[in-house]
Amino acid sequence: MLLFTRPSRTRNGAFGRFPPDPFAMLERFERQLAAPPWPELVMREEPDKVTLTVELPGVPASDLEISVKERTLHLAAKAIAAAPEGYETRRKERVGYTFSRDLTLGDQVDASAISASLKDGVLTLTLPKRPEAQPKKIAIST
Amino acid sequence: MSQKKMPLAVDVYENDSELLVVADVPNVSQDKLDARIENQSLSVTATRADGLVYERTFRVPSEVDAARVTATLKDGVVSVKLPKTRVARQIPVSAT
Repeated sequence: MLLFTRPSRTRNGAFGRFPPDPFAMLERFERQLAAPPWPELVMREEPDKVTLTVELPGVPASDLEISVKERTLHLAAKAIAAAPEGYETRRKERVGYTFSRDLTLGDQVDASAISASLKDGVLTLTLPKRPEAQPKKIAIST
Repeated sequence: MSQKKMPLAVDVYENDSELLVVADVPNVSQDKLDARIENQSLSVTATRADGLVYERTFRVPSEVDAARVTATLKDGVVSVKLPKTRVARQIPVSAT
């Protein structure tokens, strides 16, 4: 089991530009199976969109910060795995975590069309690419 | 489908009326979460959408009322409440 991903651009927050080549090879970051405090952001690129997923158990939608300012996508969340009010702790294995990423969106991304969903503790962000940035089939006339 | 099993990290809390077991199970939908209690043993099995299975079993003290154990799943976190039997059972004494 890999405990660390390959040096990941997303991990340090400096995403860099998406390759301008619409036929860029699909690169899939291998998911890190280690527990928090590093929720890993996984990026998948497809011809028409980029998908970001990150597991954030214990974070309700109201505690999730997602915003876009100019070409920067900002994500932040925090989960505190503390004893609930009125209980004593008998065993503690879970750890709380903070998650924060600032990603630079490449020119291909249509920032106004970014959508997000949070389900079963997994945040999925869909970043559609602008139509011009998507591969166009060229019809061959015979 | 891969059936890779992963141990589940849990927190256990207690107050006068119950034990509370809390675990992070991201990417698990409600229908894929199985919690059962049998013979003083609590078993939690959760299957993620990608096929990975979280699993943990542990012994439960005898003061837990198995019939009243409940579990809830919210934001990828499962909480199992194990109420303690509160009713002291009066033992009838008969004269011999």
